[in-house]
Amino acid sequence: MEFKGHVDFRACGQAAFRRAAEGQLVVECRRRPEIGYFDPLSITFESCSEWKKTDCGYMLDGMKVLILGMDGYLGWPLALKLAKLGCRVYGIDNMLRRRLVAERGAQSVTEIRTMQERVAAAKEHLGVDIEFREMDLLDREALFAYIREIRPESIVQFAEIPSAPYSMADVDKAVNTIQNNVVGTLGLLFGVRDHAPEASIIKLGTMGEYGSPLTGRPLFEGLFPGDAVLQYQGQEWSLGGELTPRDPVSFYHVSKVQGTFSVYEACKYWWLRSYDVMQGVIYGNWSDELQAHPDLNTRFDIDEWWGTVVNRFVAQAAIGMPLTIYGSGNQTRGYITLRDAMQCITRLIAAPPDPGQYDVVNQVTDVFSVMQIAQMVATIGKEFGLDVEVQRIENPRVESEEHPYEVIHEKLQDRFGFASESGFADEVRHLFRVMLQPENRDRILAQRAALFPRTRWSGEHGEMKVLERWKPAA
Amino acid sequence: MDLFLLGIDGLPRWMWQRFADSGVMPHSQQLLRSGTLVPMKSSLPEVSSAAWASIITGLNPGGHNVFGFTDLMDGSYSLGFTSSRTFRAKPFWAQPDAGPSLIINVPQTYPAQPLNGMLVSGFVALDLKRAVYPAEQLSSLENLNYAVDADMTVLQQGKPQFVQELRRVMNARCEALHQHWDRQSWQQIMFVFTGTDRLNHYLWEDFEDPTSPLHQTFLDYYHEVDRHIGRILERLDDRTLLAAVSDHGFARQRRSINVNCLLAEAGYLRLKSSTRPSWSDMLPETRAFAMDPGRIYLHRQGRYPGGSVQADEAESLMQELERYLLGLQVEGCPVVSQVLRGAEIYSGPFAHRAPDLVALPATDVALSGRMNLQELIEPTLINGRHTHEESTFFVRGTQHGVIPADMRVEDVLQVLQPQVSTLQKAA
Repeated sequence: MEFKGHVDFRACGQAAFRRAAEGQLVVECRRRPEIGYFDPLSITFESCSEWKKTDCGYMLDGMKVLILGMDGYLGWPLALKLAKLGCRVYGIDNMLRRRLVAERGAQSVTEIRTMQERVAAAKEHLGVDIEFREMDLLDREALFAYIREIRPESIVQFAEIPSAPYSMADVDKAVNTIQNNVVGTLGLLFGVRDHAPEASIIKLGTMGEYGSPLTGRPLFEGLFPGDAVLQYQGQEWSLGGELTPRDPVSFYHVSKVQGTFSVYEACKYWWLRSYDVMQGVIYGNWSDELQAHPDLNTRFDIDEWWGTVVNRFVAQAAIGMPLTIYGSGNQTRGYITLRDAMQCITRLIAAPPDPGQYDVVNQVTDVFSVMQIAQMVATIGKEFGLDVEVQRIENPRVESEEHPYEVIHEKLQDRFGFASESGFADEVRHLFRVMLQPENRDRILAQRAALFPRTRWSGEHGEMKVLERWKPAA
Repeated sequence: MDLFLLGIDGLPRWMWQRFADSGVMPHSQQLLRSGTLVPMKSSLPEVSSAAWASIITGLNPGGHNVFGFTDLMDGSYSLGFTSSRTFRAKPFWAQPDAGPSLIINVPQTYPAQPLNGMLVSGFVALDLKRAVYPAEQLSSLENLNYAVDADMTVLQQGKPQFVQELRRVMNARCEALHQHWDRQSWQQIMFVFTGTDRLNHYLWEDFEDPTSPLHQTFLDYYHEVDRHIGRILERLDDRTLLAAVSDHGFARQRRSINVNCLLAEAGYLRLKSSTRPSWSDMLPETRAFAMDPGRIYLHRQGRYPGGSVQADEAESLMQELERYLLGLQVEGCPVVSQVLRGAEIYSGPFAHRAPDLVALPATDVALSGRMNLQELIEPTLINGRHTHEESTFFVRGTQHGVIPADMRVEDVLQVLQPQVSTLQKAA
């Protein structure tokens, strides 16, 4: 999809709107104040020197993007992708993820470099400059000073603890999750209000914020569509534009829902602008930039707390460990590859929302049940000579195992031009090739114990019972 | 103080003389006796932004880059609004040897640029905060309820309310003048009344019709302007060179005609369909288009992204357009009185940005260059229009430069400050 026509100056992030006499709206360009005042609807992408055509649509040339949580699974590939597209990329991280994974007795399967080494490798292998500072999102004084210093045009909030089981393990971990995610995001919003109010905020949420309603109600993209109607006692009310219900499924998800409301309110009170990204379960470790050199690897976690299901299944298959399905395996979720997710986020950065606009996208390409995933991973494993076993175990979580699941995911395609570049099978094949490299296989074996769940939502202790074990037919 | 330059936007020379003689403006009567009043020619086109820019720089639009209130950005169809940022020449108060200057309400000076002294921008100004230099003077203006422009929406309540609004704005502005005048000694002051232009636009019919209930309201407003002039005169001694200027004349307007409709009718202008048509909707087949008020541009290849007029076609196209425009009639009346060639009337470093042709309106007509082609004759409350002829130039005493026989807005500085003007030409 090609974007054409008028630059939406409200979205451009460069524009200050002013109302001139007789209702005429004019804008001025923050980047080029010397050119004066313009009719916003007379400026096209083609004619504006500040916009540049990229693979992800028109993008502000040299856009300043601040990535919070740059050291993470998503933060680092995004930094590389944006830098390669010509953005000026800045990032912070408190390196918490590295510590928490180590505390769990786990490690990234692919070896990762320090941030300093990564930044140097990005310069060497991709020819890009990335600025990184070790900083805690909760150190608001430092954060605000940094925002003031760089005046980012877009801020990506990835600096959250991303684990449901971690948040359910004990009180300290639950509080840590809430503290880091909820308080971190709240503080950030004040910083944006005071020091970069025109920046767009890309907030990472999760599809898990919605839960999986047993009514079968479609999971709309955050807000009810304009023609949604509630019928009750013979009367009808429009629900158009209202936030859809949230039904988080862990304290981690609760923290994400709180983030959603914080951002929503900040857009309302202070005319901030934000896209809240309800991301499906992410998997894979492939991107054009990551492939340039092993020193550019992003982290790849597979353990109970920090890994996601597809990544863990491939790792389990690679070491001959049965794929562990929780409960019936009929739990259905939305999924997306790392590569596609990076494209989506980049497109959201490229086309920011209007001032005051809070919008939500469901960042999902496929919907699978856990059972289907196990089946597909086992089938692809056979291509690599693996005889994959699957086991169902007691479900450590409190969740519906049988439920309808209809995800609406149209905005990214229809409004932002997203087109998926990677599919499940190819991504899993690539993962097998990576996991089966001897040094990586050794790193999986070394954390074998961490691949089996121990964290029950109920707070009870003790091994999960194995309910059933089998080898799927091809 | 060396110079007090008073501006009265849209005041025709003949009207000032008449109001002075008839007693509507008694202070002016005294003033006009003490110097020379001559008719002056406005800028081309006869719009305030271009004319004031010429008055304060001594240059024509080819020299200062202000051809109207709007312009297309080079090499694009993006519609820009002229401002102090696109105004490319230095006004007299920004010359290197200029002493402390107090500049209030001069159009075309927004946003306020730094100077030796104080400046409050005139229209079009969007935000008082950025209309004031130095910024620390903002609060004194806010305390006076100073407004950069009258609230035009008051017109919907009725003309009497509108005139009341013009008074309110004028009084606050005059208060600001005297407050800041007292603050320190100034080498030069320039102060512009702009409510007069607004009044003329909307109440011209009432001025021309002595039976209109608002006829007296019109005269009363000028009487009040005169009272403010009197207060200024009281404070000036003979050592200060005093001059008064207006940027254009005024006359009755019976219809506002959209030149782009006429160009489209004759096939010179072709637009693709659009809910809010703009210059970016012009198809490559477009040969010529207009911008307010009567600026006509050939859609030249190399000047515009979709331009199709070749250099060697330009001359014959311009001749064709001149014939077409001069021969036009709407409702049995001519539309255009004169068509001038941009290449002949503009000079200076920005002359290449000039319109190819400038059309001057026929009697009773105002020209516009909107891209919304729905209505050839546009509905408007405006019933007075600018004229190129008969703007005002007055200078007190005899200690001034030569007043040219054919006085134009860009000659003002030459007459008042021959030394400044000489400096400028050397630069």
